Amino acid sequence: MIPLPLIDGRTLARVITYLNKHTEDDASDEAKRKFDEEFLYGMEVGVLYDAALAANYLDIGGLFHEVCQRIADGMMNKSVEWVRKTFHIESEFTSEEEVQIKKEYAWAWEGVDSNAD
Amino acid sequence: MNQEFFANLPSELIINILSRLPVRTIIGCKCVCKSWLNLLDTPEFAKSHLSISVPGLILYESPRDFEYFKVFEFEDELDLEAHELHYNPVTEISSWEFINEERLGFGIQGSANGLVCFRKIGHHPETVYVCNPITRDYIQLPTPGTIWHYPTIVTYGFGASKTSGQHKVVRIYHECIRDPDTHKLLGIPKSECWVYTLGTGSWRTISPGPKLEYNCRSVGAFLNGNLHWLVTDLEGSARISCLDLETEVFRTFSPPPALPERRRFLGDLTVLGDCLCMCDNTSDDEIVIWLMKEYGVEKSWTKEFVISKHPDYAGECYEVVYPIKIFKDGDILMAWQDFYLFYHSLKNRTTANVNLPKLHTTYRTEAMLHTPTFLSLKSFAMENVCSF
Repeated sequence: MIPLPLIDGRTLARVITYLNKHTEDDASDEAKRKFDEEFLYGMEVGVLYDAALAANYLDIGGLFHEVCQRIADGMMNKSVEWVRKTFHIESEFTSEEEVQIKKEYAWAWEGVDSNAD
Repeated sequence: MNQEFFANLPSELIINILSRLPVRTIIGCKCVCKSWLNLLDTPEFAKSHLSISVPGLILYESPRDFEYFKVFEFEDELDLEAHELHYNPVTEISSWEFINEERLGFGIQGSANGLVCFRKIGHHPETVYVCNPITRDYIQLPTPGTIWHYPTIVTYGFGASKTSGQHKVVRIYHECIRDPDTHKLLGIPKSECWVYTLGTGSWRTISPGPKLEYNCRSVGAFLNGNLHWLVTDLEGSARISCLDLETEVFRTFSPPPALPERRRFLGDLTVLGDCLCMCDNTSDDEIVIWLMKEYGVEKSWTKEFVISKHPDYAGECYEVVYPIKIFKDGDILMAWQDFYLFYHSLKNRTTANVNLPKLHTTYRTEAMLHTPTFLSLKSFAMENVCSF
């Protein structure tokens, strides 16, 4: 028995489902890609993170990269406020500090959805 | 999901995720929290990001009195409604932001691993800069030795060596003796090669290789850790001069076969996809694009595309065409000398100018592939780095 303290049961079950498909002898690359598409489709951000952490801990390269890419895709063109809210991050910046950073990189702020959900 | 979840993710996981984002989104992430701000400034992040960063475009435009650089990320998807949708603007930098002079007349000398080398054209002594348009810092190189004077030839290249990853600016300088009536090259009494390795603070000379006639209007084409120039040997034959940036040794190899007679030849080297590319614009009717399908294998030169110039681009001309990129949908982006950008659609068999939004009519336009990086020039020792 190998204890895995950092991964909860549900995530581990998902990882095992992924591994079972990817290690099938007669699964073509096309079938694996289709499986990944369906498997990861519509996964909530929280579930994706759990999967990323598990894949990183267990060193499952393919799953890790797929999940990281999907998390990144979800973040495209989202506002700072959205990122903080979705990932439950506390900003320790004072409002002056935040203004300072935004001023320094003012060119990067055009064209971002400020209220995108 | 655990409330503290993202805060507990190992930094290499956060780096992996953030590396995949477009440049502007990454910069936006600097504002999310202090630990992300610090993480995004680390060499680990810059390295991870560069390893998956996809080349975009750097464009230099010069209306009458000032100039600016524009950086784009490519949207390389099929079924875009218009060719111009291939270009997502990242940032625009006016030369006024860092050099308070008019009519600078820059020429881009090369782009490698996110750093861009440019210099004031026609200016003597030469003023050369290396810049990162994303981190917005630049250095001005010290003046290289042996000042140019007519009729000597000076040409540059910029690249990074394959193994050590060191960025190097290369300056080739040679004298010419020509027949006063025919202008035929009679000899090259003196030739030099100067190299500036970023982080060393000074130029040094290396062996210049065999005596070859370079072209002032060319810049070195950077591929596989080597720089390449189209040259002519003392017998008048076209050759390719190749400098290995690791060993700093020159060698030559053959260009595509059966090129038009040298004096009338309108062609130069670039890199297209992963191949060394020679584009021949000599004909009134067609643009011929050759690719060296297997790097270093002379027999692998293949006439890959023949693009009709009719109706809008045909006729006698004096300009060289530089292919830049082939998109997945078969559009080939090219530059017509430093006049404008245009593209050929392999699907529709049409050729047209690229109409990117412009504030002013430009006098000169140069473009080159550029891979955005967060590697700051401040990470190079012994360099006087300025920010803009």
